[in-house]
Amino acid sequence: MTAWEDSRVPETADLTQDVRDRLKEIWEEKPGLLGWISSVDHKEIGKRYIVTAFALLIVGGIEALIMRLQLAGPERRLLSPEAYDQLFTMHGVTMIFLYASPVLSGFSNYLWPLLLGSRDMAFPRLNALSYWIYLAAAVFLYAGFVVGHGPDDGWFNYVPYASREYNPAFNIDIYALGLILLGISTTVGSANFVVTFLRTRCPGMSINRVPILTWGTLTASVGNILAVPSVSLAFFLLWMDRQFGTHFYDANQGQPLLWQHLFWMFGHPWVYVVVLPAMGMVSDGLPTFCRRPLVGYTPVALATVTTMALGFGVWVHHMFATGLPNLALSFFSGASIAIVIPSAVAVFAWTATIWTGRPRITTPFLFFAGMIVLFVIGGVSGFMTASAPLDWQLTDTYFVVAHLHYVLIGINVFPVVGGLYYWFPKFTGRMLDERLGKWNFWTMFVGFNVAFLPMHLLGVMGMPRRVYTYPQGMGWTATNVVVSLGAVLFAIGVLLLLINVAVSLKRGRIAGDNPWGAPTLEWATTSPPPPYNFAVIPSVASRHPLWEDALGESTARSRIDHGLLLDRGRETIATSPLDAEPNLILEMPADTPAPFLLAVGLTGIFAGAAGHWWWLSGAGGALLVLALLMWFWPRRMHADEPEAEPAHV
Amino acid sequence: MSSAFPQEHPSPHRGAVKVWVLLFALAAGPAGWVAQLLLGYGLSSYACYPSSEPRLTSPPPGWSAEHLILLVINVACLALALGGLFVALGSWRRSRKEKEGGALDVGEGRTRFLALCGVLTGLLFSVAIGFDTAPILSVPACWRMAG
Repeated sequence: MTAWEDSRVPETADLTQDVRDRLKEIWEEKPGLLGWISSVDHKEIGKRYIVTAFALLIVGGIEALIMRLQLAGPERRLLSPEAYDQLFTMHGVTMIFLYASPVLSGFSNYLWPLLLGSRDMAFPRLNALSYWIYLAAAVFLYAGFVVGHGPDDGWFNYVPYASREYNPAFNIDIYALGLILLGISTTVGSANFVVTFLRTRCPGMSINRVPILTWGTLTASVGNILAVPSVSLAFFLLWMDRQFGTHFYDANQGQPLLWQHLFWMFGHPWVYVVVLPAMGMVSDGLPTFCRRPLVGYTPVALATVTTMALGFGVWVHHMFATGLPNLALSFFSGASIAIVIPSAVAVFAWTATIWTGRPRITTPFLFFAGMIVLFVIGGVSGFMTASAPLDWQLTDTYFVVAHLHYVLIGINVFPVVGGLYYWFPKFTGRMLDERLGKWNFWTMFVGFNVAFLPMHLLGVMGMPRRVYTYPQGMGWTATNVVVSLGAVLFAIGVLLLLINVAVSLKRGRIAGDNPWGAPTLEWATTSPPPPYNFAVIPSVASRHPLWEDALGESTARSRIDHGLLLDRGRETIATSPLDAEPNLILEMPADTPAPFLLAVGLTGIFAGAAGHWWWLSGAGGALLVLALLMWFWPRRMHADEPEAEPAHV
Repeated sequence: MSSAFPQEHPSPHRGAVKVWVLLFALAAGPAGWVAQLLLGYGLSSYACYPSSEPRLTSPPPGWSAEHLILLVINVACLALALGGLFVALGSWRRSRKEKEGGALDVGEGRTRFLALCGVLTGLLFSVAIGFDTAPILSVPACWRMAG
């Protein structure tokens, strides 16, 4: 029994060509540049996120290669210390802020409504705004770098080095304002994911039936909403110290350690933000190739959430060497060790899925399975540094560099590339080449381990991180040569991926709707999906709507070809948060340039603040107000729609 | 209308366990863990500030009144987490026959899913509180007092 909240009762229908044609006319994007700028289609926004994030991954990768050339031998002078500082800072900023999280937002933006059986995200305009601000923040952060004044104090940006006294040019101001701008993008995007999860799942998709990817992105989004204010505040206070002479981080009147607390209260949850959705990709992708459901859905879903919860209580393990009292450190050491438990649950679940399944060794499978190996290595080194006495020996050495790259590349880049091989057919309608894909995997996997495994050794041998060169006779040279060669091999692997994408876009095998025989809803629609995703809203009876006959879990069956019609304009269905009972018709917004204009206005405000060009901030503010007026201007209801009335089924 | 939706509700036993009971079962463990972490960190840092002359002066090696307070806090928080665990276990038992299929793989209903999440959450956070209780019994509070 379903109560409709102030809404007409929607009709149900079978899936027909006539319905498809009508919906295509309603949902299709307008042609031309204005149509492109105005699009609020989640698939379009998702693809833009992915393309932009991959472009920035390549930029960050080139920065890394230049650094590895510099560090391939002792006392090399390819880069000056100043140039190296900017390069290694921008490498970190790019990979951590501009690639790792946005690329996952891209996948989730594209996939969520398809996975959930909906027609769009809950707030399509907010979705577009999130992308445009992300793009603007990336340009903003790189603007300083291209004129020789990029951020240069590391992505962690510790005071007092970041204070005006030691860093008087505008390098750090660009970083501070750019991160606040990016934080707005992250926050609005996260709010959208949370509401989309709670309200737009198709009928029958109770919270125990959602794909693990959605658990991962939901958890990351809640984490973002709680953590981003901390870093935005940290950077705002720093900007105030630098521009207006406040003393938040001043050693005499303020507290330099406050920076580290605020930064790492954000920074460690952020680590989970950039890995949990990627772990979700593996949890959803592996079962397809193992031809069996994921072992331990409930523990894995819960491990996702509890990893983030525990992740909020470990920030001080980045500060073990700052002189905080013994017992205070030990609480965070305990929490950091406890986080191994949910991580191990996921690893054992994936391993059991492979062990008890019948694996098909495809390229996506290799990337997902490779991720498990790298996760274990990165997890073990993380467990080691969770112990304060051991961390005191290893902190600020290359051991930590090795650990963080095993985590960030191992648990983000490998699943993302695997995810690209897995969902590329859905995105484009064509398959990526499998033969080239396997070369791609092995080159990246071997290159990665050749580059980063020896870094553990460098750390144990005492090589400090964050140095632009090192003296001869330290015994580090040969290992550094190996690391640099590994980095080049890894880069060749990424190049193979780009070649595969470029070739397959034109000449890849036609995929069909469900080329992998996968179980979830995104494979129930065409490849690529139509603008409206599903002509009728599906209703599901299990976690694996497309495997029900094969699994024979129960007698109930999902319905893909018959469901709610919703064809009186851009509409989708809202359902209850726990059990996905339909209770409201959501009228979705039309395409509009308002999010783009709002992002431009906001960027103007920040650019004016960076250069003290207050006229530019004023103009940006005026544009922002106009964009908001355009955004919120009342819309006329559809002419053929009867007046809304509460109704009951 | 009904033909557009699955034949069976995803949570047939939703009436057997109230939502607020499940909410308590899910939240008690994390709440206890957060409370002991923040109180423990705050109190143990406060006792050692400023580092040149800690408020907590000349305690017996490895033990002090501050340690006793921290221990009481952690035991109380552990009791909260275990309370959540037992409530979750009760909910799990009441929803045992909600759906066909095993709890780990496929088939369980939504009520049973949340109840199992409560059981696992209670276990995990009880262990995490245990990890934070062990150093109270063995680690000196401040840097310089140990020597």
